[in-house]
Amino acid sequence: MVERRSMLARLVPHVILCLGVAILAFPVYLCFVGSSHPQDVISNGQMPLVPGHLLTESYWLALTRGVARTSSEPVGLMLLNSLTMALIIASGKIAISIISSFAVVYFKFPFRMAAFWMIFITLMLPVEVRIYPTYKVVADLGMLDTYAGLTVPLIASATATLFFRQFFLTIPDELVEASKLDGAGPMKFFWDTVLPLSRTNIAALFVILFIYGWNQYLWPLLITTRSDMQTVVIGIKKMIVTQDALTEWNIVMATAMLAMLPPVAVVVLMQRWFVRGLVETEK
Amino acid sequence: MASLSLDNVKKVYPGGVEAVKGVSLQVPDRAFVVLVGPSGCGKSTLLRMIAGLETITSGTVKIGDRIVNDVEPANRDIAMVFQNYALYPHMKVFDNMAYGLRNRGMGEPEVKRRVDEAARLLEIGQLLDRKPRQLSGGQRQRVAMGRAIVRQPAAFLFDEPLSNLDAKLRVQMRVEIKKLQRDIGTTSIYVTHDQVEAMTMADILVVMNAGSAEQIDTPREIYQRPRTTFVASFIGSPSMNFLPAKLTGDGKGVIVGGVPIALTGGAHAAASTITVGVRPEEIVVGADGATHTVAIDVIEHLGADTIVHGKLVADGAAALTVRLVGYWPLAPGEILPVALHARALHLFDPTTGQRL
Repeated sequence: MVERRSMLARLVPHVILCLGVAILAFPVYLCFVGSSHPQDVISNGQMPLVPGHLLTESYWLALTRGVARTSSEPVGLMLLNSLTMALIIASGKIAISIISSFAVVYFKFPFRMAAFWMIFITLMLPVEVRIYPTYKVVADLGMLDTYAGLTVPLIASATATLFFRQFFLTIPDELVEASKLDGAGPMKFFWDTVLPLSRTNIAALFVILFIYGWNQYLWPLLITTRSDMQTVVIGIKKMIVTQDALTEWNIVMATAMLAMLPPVAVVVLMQRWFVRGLVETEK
Repeated sequence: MASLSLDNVKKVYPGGVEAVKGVSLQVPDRAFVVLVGPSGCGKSTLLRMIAGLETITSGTVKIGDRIVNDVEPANRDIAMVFQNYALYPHMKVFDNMAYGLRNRGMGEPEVKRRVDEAARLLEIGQLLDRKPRQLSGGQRQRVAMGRAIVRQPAAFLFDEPLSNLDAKLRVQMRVEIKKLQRDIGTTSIYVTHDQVEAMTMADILVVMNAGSAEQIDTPREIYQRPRTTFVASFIGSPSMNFLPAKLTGDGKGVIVGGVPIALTGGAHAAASTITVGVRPEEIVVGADGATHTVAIDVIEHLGADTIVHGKLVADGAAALTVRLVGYWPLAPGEILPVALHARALHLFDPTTGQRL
């Protein structure tokens, strides 16, 4: 595009964008600043706008000790729990949905479309809707307070199945036929052709699903009772005490900052793949 | 290398659509057979049945001495070149060509030897490390050919392999494929809708229409003695002219546009109405010996040829196309004297379209 617009016309979009960034980033900055001041400063309601002197101390305390007065675990452990959960959910979702869409797209079997629609309909039944029966099943299976209980009910994914199905439908039929003539059976076709072609899509999906898993709140809240199984998202909530004690705001804010880092890292590291997976088709 | 034979092969899709209505075809070893016809005539379906990508409703397909109706595509000992090349986008050219061999458990030294040999034959040796998306259309086409060649199959199947190339490249690849096939001598079946490819490449030409083989012959025979009006109009460019005519009382002559022309062959059924076909390039132009006149509507100058579209000046005023060699300074509205010679006429039954 040839840029021939006036100075003002070029300035306006920039101003709007900067404003947007400021609105989004300011709370994060405030959180960062808050994590560097002693708790009484924040509790008094005098929120400063420049970082204080407790920066390293707050983060160190959060990571290793957590909040002193509640029974909270160190944030390091919570982060590890969250990471495990998010990774299992993301990879589990991808693994299951890629093979189920492979089955739906490439095999002719009775009730194929029925199976596909069944998967599709689960879009209307997220965990929040089926929470009691799901809890009952998990509890009866003895999976409370385990990683399996934390992740398995969240793994089935209609969205990812749909996403892969749409992608598989764009793979030309000739590739399937060429594979047949080249002596590759269905699973060999899957490993040698479908999987490598799906690489960018898998990466894009991984970013979305990792963040989905990381941000889970309601389900982990129900399923975990032991504090050493706590995830960081729940941990933050539990750190905020309401009665009889002062909330250690600097630790809470430090934890919030720490909780943001892994998703940010995933997005930053995989951004190139993420964008390619959503826009580019390598065929 | 092997011969190939189809015996009354039919394809009926669920829902009752008959895509191929009983085609029989004998392909001798080393022959180059071209299936040609308009889109939807069943030529691709027939090829895909030979490849094993479509089931055969009835009839038998034999490759060599083996009936392959129920044999998996991979075990039919054939290799196919697809219209869209169907190269594996994520594999290098070498791996694309080697994939089928490796899947069959061939040792790596032999794989390498075969791929290198095919690459040398196709002059794509310098492309072996590239990915398909880094290649031009013509190069991809060569790789697709290479993938077929390395397999050293009993037969090559080509499904409109040149239709995605630009006109110039198509001519070049056409010649190369024909030459390559002659050099390695593998029996080939080639599907196209392009009559130039059909005429130039085929040893045996199969003209298909609406699921049936209308004529199976050498290209020359098909051009010179088309068995039906469909074959006559499909092969040849511009298309053959068809004029309504009547046989004379003794059956030894034909009346076209009111002018009787004596026929050279034997007598036909007297006084019946027929269709006379005449190729645009076999109409002789000039005042001497002219039998008819043509009122010119449109003139197309192709450089080497001049194509004249006009109407026969006679009752009925049938449309007539004439192909003249060289540049002719004619104008629309002019009257062109032409001669229809008996040896240039093809006689057809107007109702069945069969040659008389």
